[in-house]
Amino acid sequence: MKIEITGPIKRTKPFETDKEDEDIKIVVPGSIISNRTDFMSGHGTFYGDEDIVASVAGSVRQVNKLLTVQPFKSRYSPDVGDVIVGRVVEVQQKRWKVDINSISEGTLALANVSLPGGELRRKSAEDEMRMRMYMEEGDLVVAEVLNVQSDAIQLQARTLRYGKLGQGLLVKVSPSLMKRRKTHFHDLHFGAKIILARNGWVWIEPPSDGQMSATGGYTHSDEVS
Amino acid sequence: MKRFNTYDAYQIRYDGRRFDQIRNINFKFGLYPHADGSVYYEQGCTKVICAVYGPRQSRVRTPDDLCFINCQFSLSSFATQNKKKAQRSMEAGRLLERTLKSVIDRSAYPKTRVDVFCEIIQGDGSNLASCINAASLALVDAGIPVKGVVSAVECGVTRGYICTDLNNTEVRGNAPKIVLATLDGKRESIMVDYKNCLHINQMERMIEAGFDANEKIYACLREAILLRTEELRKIVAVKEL
Repeated sequence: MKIEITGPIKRTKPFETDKEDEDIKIVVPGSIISNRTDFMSGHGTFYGDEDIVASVAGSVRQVNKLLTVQPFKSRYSPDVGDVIVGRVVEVQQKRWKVDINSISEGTLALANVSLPGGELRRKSAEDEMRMRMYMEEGDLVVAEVLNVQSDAIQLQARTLRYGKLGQGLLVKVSPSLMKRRKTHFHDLHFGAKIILARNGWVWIEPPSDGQMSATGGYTHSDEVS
Repeated sequence: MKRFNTYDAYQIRYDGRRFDQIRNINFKFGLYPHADGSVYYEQGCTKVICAVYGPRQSRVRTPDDLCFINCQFSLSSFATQNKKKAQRSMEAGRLLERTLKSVIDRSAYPKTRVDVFCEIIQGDGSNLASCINAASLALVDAGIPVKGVVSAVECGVTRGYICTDLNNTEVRGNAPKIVLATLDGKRESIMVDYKNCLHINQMERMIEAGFDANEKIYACLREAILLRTEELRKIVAVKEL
């Protein structure tokens, strides 16, 4: 009579890792990283009874006395100055609410947007009424993170390179693949433009004529019929 | 009602296990690319799909502005041999929610919500316990900070013998059973759901058996998470130019 004994399988290493990666310590939530006296706990860790415990699964990073654990896949966590591509979900009184694949929605205030035509002036009450003519629910916008608070992410689209997006293609990838670089706007050699946003959304634009980019994607007819 | 045995003369259960053995555990992560975390989890023949969305913007406000946790536990209509329409169990959903509420760090993300959806596509006993295990894996896959890895098991008593990780035939009837959930395989329970009548003297033995089984299940879940983290690290690793 045979009795089968089952248990956890022994882990073989099917992945090749580089020499530098060998030093990175992988932890599981609940595993103890180090003792409390020497280090402080940062993102992805918390204080246990006498030690610092990981709260996400990822690699342990140590900066001086601060220990953090970085998960390899998570929602986008915004930093000030990041370029992001978002979709408008709501038009409120003086601002737009934008979905940026993060923990909370981004807020794009009317005061932080450059008006179509490129002029910078104080927004009047009429501009508030005309918010919908510029951007409404479902539109894509490229903006920069202005400020990050616990419950709100403020965006700004002041310069001409930011603003509503027109015709093109949106590709969504994981935010952890997007590293911070000097510029996220690139021109491909055959004329198309690509925006690699930090929240994992990639925007590809076909070759455009000069007129479109000057007005920021907004056309307004001044003809009096 | 005639009681029938679920084990034979050699004290081996009808699926070939001893009383304290758990079933084979199988898993696959990343089934739903749109969800923040998702896992397909098998415990023996019980198959569960769990998807986690969050933390994301919430319109619902909780007192103290903590993260709002929403759990849905549903049994597909083709999951069991009985002819049933697709059921959504409110009670099991609340138990799952209470287990996860004590494990997720809710104050880290105020005014947000986490949605956990569990669907049992084949129910072969230990349905709630498998859902808790699957939800725990999916939460870690989503990168949501948790206090540890939750493991759960369903234990019952048949004719004086305590069986762990019950299958469908053992769950039937009015035999007493408990669903016991622990954190990190430690001998402290974070959730106990107890059904039917049990003598007080047997309760402690049942809970001890539950703790032992949870240690084994936690070892399997931990391996699963380590494998998944290695897999994700390979995808994300970028050589600096």
